[in-house]
Amino acid sequence: MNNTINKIDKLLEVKGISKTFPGVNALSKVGFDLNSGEIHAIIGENGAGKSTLMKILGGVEIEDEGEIYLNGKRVILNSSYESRKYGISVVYQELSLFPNMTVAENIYPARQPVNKFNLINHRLLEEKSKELLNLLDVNISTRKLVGDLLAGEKQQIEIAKAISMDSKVLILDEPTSSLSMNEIKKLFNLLLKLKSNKVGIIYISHHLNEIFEICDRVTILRDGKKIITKDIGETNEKELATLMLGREVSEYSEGVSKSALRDKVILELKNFSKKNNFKNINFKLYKGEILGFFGLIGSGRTELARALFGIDPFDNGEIFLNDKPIKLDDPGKAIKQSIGFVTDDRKNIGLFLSMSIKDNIVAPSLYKYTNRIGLINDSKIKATAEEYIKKLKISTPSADRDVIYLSGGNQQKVLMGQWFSTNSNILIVDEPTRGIDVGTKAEIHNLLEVLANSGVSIILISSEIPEILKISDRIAVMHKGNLINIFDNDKSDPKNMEKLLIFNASGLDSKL
Amino acid sequence: MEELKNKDLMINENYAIRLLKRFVNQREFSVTILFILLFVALSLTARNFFTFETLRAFMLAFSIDALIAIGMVILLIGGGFDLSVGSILALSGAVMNLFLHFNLNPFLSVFLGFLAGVLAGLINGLLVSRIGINALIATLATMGIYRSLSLITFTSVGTKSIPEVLNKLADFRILGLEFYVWLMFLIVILFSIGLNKSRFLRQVYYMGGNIDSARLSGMNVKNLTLINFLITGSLASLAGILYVIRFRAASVSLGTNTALDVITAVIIGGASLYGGRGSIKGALTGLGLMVLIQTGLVFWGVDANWQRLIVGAILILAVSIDVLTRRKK
Ligand SMILES: Nc1ncnc2c1ncn2[C@@H]1O[C@H](COP(=O)(O)OP(=O)(O)OP(=O)(O)O)[C@@H](O)[C@H]1O
Ligand SMILES: [Mg+2]
Repeated sequence: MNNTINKIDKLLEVKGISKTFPGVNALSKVGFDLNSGEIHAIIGENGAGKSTLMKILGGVEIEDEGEIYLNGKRVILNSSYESRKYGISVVYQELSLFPNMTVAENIYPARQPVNKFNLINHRLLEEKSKELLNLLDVNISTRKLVGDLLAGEKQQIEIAKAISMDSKVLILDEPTSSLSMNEIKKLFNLLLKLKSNKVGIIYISHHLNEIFEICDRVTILRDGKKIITKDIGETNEKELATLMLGREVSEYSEGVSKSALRDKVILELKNFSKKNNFKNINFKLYKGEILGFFGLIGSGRTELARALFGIDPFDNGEIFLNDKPIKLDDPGKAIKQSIGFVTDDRKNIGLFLSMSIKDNIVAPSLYKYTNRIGLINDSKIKATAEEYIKKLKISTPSADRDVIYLSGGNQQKVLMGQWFSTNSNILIVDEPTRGIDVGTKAEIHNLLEVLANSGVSIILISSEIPEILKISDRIAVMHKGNLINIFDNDKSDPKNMEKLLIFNASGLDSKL
Repeated sequence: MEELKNKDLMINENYAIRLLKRFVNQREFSVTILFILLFVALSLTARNFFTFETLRAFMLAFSIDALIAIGMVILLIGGGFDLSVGSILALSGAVMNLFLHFNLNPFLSVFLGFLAGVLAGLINGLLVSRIGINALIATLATMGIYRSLSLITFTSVGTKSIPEVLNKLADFRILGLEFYVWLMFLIVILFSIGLNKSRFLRQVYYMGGNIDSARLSGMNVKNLTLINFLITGSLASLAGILYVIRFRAASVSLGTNTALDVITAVIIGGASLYGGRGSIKGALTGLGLMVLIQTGLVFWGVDANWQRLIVGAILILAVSIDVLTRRKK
């Protein structure tokens, strides 16, 4: 009896899927199933094969072997067109929007509502897009160009686009990687609504707490193999992490973090302003401290960092480096002053996707690998690349592999390697652990603290409260372009958590 | 122990196969094979092909355009493009001719002609890097402008054959080959080392790979672009001077097809119009193949009208193979 019910409910079933890439067994004989009205988590380390499996379901990659069943019937998914026809829609890890088109046009590409002359009905297009964005409780003008949006906003547009297709199976590959807590809440509300409408949802995330919040079952992949599927009620975060890594997570030793002395101001911003982005920002950065910047999407943190690093111009204000005023209107100048910047937009302005890991890692510090007459020392480059591949656990067959062939989390690690290897005195890191698995995340936090202890000053922009609280010496809170408070972070004081949570919940300019 | 050895062997074997595959997969390789096949076929079928004289003629035709191909491939790697190289080539010849007409010192005339071409390259570079005009559009415009300028000088003073000193220079050979063939070798070696090893030119690959990331990595992309156009302009200008010396007189029609021919050659050799890919080796093998086809048609007595058809077919073939093998991967 029980069995038959299961059979009917089984929306999607995947059997014995294998996929190899040159030098990598991305998936070997993986199987799992999804019921309608279920939210099913897939978790695993960076490079475990999660995205590859989703690409196969989306028809973007073709499996070497294996079978896919929808409602008990075998289906062949040879293109994303076909997969969509069967009612599967996917939000891929790497966003694929058209930056030169508006939000509305991006939500309905090639499916725009038309009038009887087959011309696009722009008013209806905008209305329908607005409705969708309302479902997500998102406030973005549908006429804005996508190229002008922030990473988190782009992610919300992708989600809206996927939902617009009224699919039976919705796949979300790390949908929350650039969202902050409030947006995640809104997304979860929507997912629960879809769930009650019998939609089956596959949910990939490196945030294990999210999985316990909304998922029903979880499937663990490791090195391309399925380890186990578990009911969420029968497991806990620690067990999942252990199953993912194949060993216990080594929470780093607490002894590493000691608070900075705060005796020497290395960087100071005075009245730093840019219209529509941030207003009157004043703060000091001390030698050897980690200054965390917390805020919601659109609070102006990324814009502030970009202006400081010389990517974008700003309107007013001054930058003091070691008490001397300085003009930074080009990243090259900032780098010369020993400032580094890990961007949150690795695909567009961070990495060189068509180039090798080693070329990427040395890009900002190429001058260090050059002899007196300007010739490059390739073996030195290779050595550095291999050092960071090891340090950051980048999973790849070699340092010569083009970055485009790495998994998302491994690409993020290459980006970190780019700037860790510059040995900068000041490091601005914008969402540094985005898409990075739990094992490596702890190690990156550790690395940041070691850097700070050695005298490097770090500006950490993060939307993850635990991350901010874990490693910041002080926390700056930004809201709608204003820096509303900076306070000391006693890493063991739970009050700080409350402060940030209250701020998050209210979202208003309360005095913290 | 035994097992370990086997494993080692296997890894080595895999490595060798991988190395071989990587080599075979490179465009330069397939173009070189094509070149060799055509060369062998010509040697077997056409009488008098495999002689020193023919080889010399081949090198003559090859070497001057090779200079332009080097400039073009560097531009393409950096995501740029230059349609005006043929006009620059004509301009430097025209300016040199102008000063010779006024009986200026021949070497000074050569220098001023060269300078005119360098200036033309600089202007291209400024238009693209400082004003921000798209490279295709900017050089489309200057292609016409430089061509007009050279035509204007020609119609006002007429062409003049080169003076005696330059004539002697044109005849000057080392080991049976003209001096500019050796000059080409020298420049090829210089730029090959440069593109492989110099930090400056390595940055060109980064710029072509992702210009925004390059900027964020602290590379001065404006200056890089400017200097790339300057290099291309200078090499085209040098080619223009050498053409005049080789033909012993400047000519109105010089370089009308050069830009498209060179771009074709460089793309056959594996460069990408989207930037980030290409090599000097590839550019030269691509050009070599094109020149060999020209030579071959002459030797086989085929009507020269076939030439563009064959080159077009090879371009499509080379790029298709590339696209198809990439898609499979
Ligand atoms: N097109 C490709 N060519 C070569 N290798 C690939 C390709 N796509 C994926 N891989 C490799 O397959 C493995 C699995 O990658 P996948 O993207 O599925 O990992 P993932 O589990 O999604 O990781 P992450 O958490 O970092 O997103 C990785 O080792 C990756 O380098
Ligand atoms: Mg992934």
